[in-house]
Amino acid sequence: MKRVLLPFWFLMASAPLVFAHVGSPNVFFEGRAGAYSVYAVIRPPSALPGAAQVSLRVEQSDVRSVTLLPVMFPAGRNGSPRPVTAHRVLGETNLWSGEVWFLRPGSYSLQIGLEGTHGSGEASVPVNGLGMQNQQMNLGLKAVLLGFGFVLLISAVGIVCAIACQGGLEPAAQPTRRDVIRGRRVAIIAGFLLAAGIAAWAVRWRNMDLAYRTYGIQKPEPVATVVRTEAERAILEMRPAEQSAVGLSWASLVPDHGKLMHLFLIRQPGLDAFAHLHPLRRDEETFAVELPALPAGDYQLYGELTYENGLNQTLVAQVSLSQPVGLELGLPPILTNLNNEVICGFPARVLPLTGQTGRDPDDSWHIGQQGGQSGPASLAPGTGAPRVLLSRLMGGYTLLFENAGPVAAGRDLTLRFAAFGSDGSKVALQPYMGMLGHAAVRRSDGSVFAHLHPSGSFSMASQEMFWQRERETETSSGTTVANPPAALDGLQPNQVSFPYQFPKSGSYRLWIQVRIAGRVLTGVYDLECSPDGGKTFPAPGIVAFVTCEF
Amino acid sequence: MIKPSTPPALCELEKVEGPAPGMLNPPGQTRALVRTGDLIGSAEFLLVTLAATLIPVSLLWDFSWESTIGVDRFWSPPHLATHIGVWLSGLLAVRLIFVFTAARRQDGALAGVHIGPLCGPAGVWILFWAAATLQAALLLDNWWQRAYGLGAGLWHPPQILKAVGFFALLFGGVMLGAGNLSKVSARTGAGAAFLAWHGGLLLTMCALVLMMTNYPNLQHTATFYLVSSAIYPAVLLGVGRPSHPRWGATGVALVYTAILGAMVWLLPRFPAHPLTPPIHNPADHMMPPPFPLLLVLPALVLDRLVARPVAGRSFLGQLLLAGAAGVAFLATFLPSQWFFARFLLSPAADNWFFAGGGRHWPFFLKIDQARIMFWGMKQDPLTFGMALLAALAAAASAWIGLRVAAWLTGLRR
Repeated sequence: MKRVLLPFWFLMASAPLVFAHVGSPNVFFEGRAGAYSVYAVIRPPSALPGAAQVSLRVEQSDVRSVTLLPVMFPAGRNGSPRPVTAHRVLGETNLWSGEVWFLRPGSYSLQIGLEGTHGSGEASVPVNGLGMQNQQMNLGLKAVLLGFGFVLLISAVGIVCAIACQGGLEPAAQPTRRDVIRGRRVAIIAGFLLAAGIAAWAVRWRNMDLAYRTYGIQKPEPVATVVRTEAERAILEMRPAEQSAVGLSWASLVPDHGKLMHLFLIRQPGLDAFAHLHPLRRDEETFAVELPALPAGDYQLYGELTYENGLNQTLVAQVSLSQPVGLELGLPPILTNLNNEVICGFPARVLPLTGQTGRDPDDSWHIGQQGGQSGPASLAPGTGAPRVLLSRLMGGYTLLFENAGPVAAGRDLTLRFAAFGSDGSKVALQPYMGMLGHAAVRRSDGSVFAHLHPSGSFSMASQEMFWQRERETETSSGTTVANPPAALDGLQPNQVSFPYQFPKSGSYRLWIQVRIAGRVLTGVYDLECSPDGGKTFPAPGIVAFVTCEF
Repeated sequence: MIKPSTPPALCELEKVEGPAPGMLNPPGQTRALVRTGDLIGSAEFLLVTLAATLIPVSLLWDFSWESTIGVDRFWSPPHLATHIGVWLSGLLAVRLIFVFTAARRQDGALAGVHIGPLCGPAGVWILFWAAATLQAALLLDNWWQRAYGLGAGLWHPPQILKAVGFFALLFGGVMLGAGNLSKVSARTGAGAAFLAWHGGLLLTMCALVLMMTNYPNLQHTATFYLVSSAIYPAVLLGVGRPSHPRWGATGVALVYTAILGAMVWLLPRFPAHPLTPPIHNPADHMMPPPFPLLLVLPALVLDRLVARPVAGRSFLGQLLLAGAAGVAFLATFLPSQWFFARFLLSPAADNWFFAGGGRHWPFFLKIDQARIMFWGMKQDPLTFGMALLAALAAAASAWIGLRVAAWLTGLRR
């Protein structure tokens, strides 16, 4: 039967578990693989060992073959099996699907290889291979198993009773009263033993379930936080929780976009204050950051870390500010928006002084009212056409959600935005921490949170660690390893897009961060996601509109 | 004795002149005196044997599959073989219950164990229960693998349930063989071979479940000898003695050695390679299990030591016999296995026959030099005290084995 013996080896070689994102396990990739433009969605297995499902749309239709190669971090490419061949979906010209097997918990990279008339190409997408929140047993199965168990228990006692009574009798003999009593006694003993065994079995189940929920599933890691005042500045300190499920130390972090930690603070319940900060390490177990000028209230904290083995992890905590914090805004010499509704802040001065905690130059925050508002009619002509959401940024800029439209849970999307100046002219986006934009997605109840980049939802640091690992192999083995794939082009200088799939229906808020004229500005959007998700796969940059509207 | 297949209607009838104590029918009336084996044809015996053999063999195959290929789906060939074994056992049990029930209704045959309106041999009832339990375990395991995978750890509830089912199924075969042996004519030949074979399957299943402690690298630890002493004498004596009073335990141990040895020698003949990372030990053929334990030697000693009938001995006499058997088991097993383990980890064992030398490991295990080293000797050393404890465990195990043997010998239905 299934895996009777394998756990022995798992116990000997298991890896500590860490977790990425909140409630959004699928991994998205949008970028180049050689000459091909690729949009990939990887659905990790819910439990390991298990198969990760891969959907892949290639913009070009002249691809002859697509291969999928799972690479696990410690073993590298040399420790990987032969690539799996993906199959073209019936009736489609450029949609491919396949699956790869993840055996053990750990950090994986999926190498997507393409062959076609434009030559060969390869893309690398890191994926956390971890268990997820285990599914509950449905009522029907529960009833069947309970019924089965009851019948088996009764029948076991009955069979034992009958055998103890009649088993030793000669074929023609009828059981005497003594035989019957012996049978009953044995049956009673067997019943007690079985009941004790079932009780022990149930206790083991409960304990294993508890341990799995605590240590084995993909979930965010709580951190201990404290806000203190140092030299008239509000400092947020974070330490690992006392009972951490993570076996990895914060000493083994690697930078993602040059930062060891990305931190998001979102005020609840209004979601009207948002900060994207980058705490600095104080010691091996402490990170700290100077809080910007934020209003009082309760904040949900999300932190993102990447370890040197490629695993990434999301931290969560609740932070309460009893009064507004932060020094004067230190606003840069920039005009506020006309209605004075939105403040997009970033550090006017950075204080990385020795022994002090300062602000990172890439810190940014946003304080504003509502999310995106419907754009002018000229931007959404005609009834039923995709509507455009407009978010006014500080300084008179606007950020348009160009392909806004109905979305459904489970549907693969590319969310595209474009920046314009106050006069309606296109405004070129500048790199913000190496990317043209950063996006944060949060469900209204906090059950979903994801940090997205134009290239997808995976950790860029993980990708870099895998490439670095392969370069080391290349050096030692003499093989050649290609460079990391480039991001997808084809967008205008004022455009940025994010591949994503909303994992479940509900109300979502999006924060889109771009850098314009040297300043990080944040656009905010609200959208409703319907529950009837499909599995269709839109081409890059094209959103399939199905049921509901923003 | 295994007899040619005989329709139930043609079962053997005897004329009984007088009412024996506890007999059902009135004097002078024709009644069926059908023993367990009489209603079971040789085809059924063979199929029961085939189904039971499929269980440990498919589980060993599964172990090799997981260690070599890694991708382990519901319908993988080893799983399929296990399912076939379970279903075949279940269907045979249903058929035999039908046959015995029909015989009882037609001829008043009283060969089996009666439960309500149904009738069947004791072993068949256990087979039926085991097959049903394994179906429930399969349902539960299917859900568990999706919900937890292996993330929840070793010996999870469905796995325990499956182990219970497997052991019950194999013990059902043993009981069927023991019931068949109640015929004096069956005590030699095929009947004894049937029982010894099923005893060997049971022993293989024990060794398979204990593979975690049975690896040659662990054969210098106290735990290995403690666990071995607590388990193997019970099986060797419990099933071995009913099968043959002089060579039973040896026969059971030989069957175990043959089955495991066959897997060691055959599996590497089939090409295979891992389909999932991480590959720390590249493989191009199916991985063999570890070479079987040298249980034949202690089995021979047990057979010599307890060759005389146990029945008639006093309780103290039985205890003394069990103590002697336990000490004899450990005194033979410990030195032979201790030095054999050293040999198995040496380059001299790195060949197709012994499959040792630290060569064969699951592809996903990063083991490096530990593959040819003994593990746990500092944490779990075999001290004199632990050896004494192992001897006590062996004695207790032997006593249980003798009791089981006595019960199986007395099984008539």
